[in-house]
Amino acid sequence: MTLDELDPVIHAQSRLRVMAVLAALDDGDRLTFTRLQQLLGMTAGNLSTHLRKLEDAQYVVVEKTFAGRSPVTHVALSGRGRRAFGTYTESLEALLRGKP
Amino acid sequence: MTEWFAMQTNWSDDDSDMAADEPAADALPPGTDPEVLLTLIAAERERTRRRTAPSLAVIATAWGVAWLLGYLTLFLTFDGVTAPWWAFTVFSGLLAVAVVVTAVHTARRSAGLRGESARVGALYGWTWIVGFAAAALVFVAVARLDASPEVVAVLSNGVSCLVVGLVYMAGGMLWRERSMYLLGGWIALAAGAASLAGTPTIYLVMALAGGGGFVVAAVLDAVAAGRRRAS
Repeated sequence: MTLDELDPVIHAQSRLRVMAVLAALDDGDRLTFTRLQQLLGMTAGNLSTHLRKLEDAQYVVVEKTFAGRSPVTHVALSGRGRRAFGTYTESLEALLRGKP
Repeated sequence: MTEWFAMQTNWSDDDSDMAADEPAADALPPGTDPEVLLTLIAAERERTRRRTAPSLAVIATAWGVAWLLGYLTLFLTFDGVTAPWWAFTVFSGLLAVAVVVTAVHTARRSAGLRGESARVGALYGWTWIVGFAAAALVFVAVARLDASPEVVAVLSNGVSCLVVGLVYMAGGMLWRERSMYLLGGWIALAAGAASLAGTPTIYLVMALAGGGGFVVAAVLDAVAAGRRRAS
């Protein structure tokens, strides 16, 4: 196992941060897009781009609903995403242990 | 490597104008140390938890100050039978401020958070309302039985604090917060013991043991949070 073999969907600094924030929530919790953006300090466009990639990999679930008349987007880690993030961190730990 | 990590922990908006596809700025530097990545993940997790969960330090400070000043006012203005109406108004006003601080702080921290945690949080809020509504009915019932001012004072304080103590203990169990559980137990026991003292000493004990208990819990929580942040 080398760094190059790590899950490329997660192994990019912005997506790693998105995954880390979502994984810090309890299972079954989701965040509004706006709050996630605020927690990460990213621009909306930047966050959307990365969320789309995570959504394509089915690591996050993006849900668009309405609160009254205004649209609200909720983002949550999927079960698959939580497992992938667990595998990613375990691989890092294994790499760390394997170091001379 | 440390430079890269410092850049990460700054969380700036530098990469705001990146292109739609994999931006060069987003690629992790080749050979990035796994340790740096694990530290980054741990820091992000700790930061997220801290920013989305209410702080016991903030809430306990609000209640500690309200109880210290409020109960001391009742104790110092006690005229032999009861405290004057305005002292009770001051006491209620201080508690109302603590309620507002708690509500605003909790709402800010949990803003945008939906799902299971939000549902549990809402149920926890209702537990307070149901507890105090039931207590208020008991107080009305006792007042109608021509109880003496001292009986009403001891009973209303004891029952209210029992609700506070038990709901805190429930919160401690829900969120696995040992300090919250211990604080609740302390409040319940302190109020029970204070009841034995009768008026007006009950108010002095409540100010020092009750209000003081909140303040001690707030300080311990702030110290623990500071230590977590530093590690």
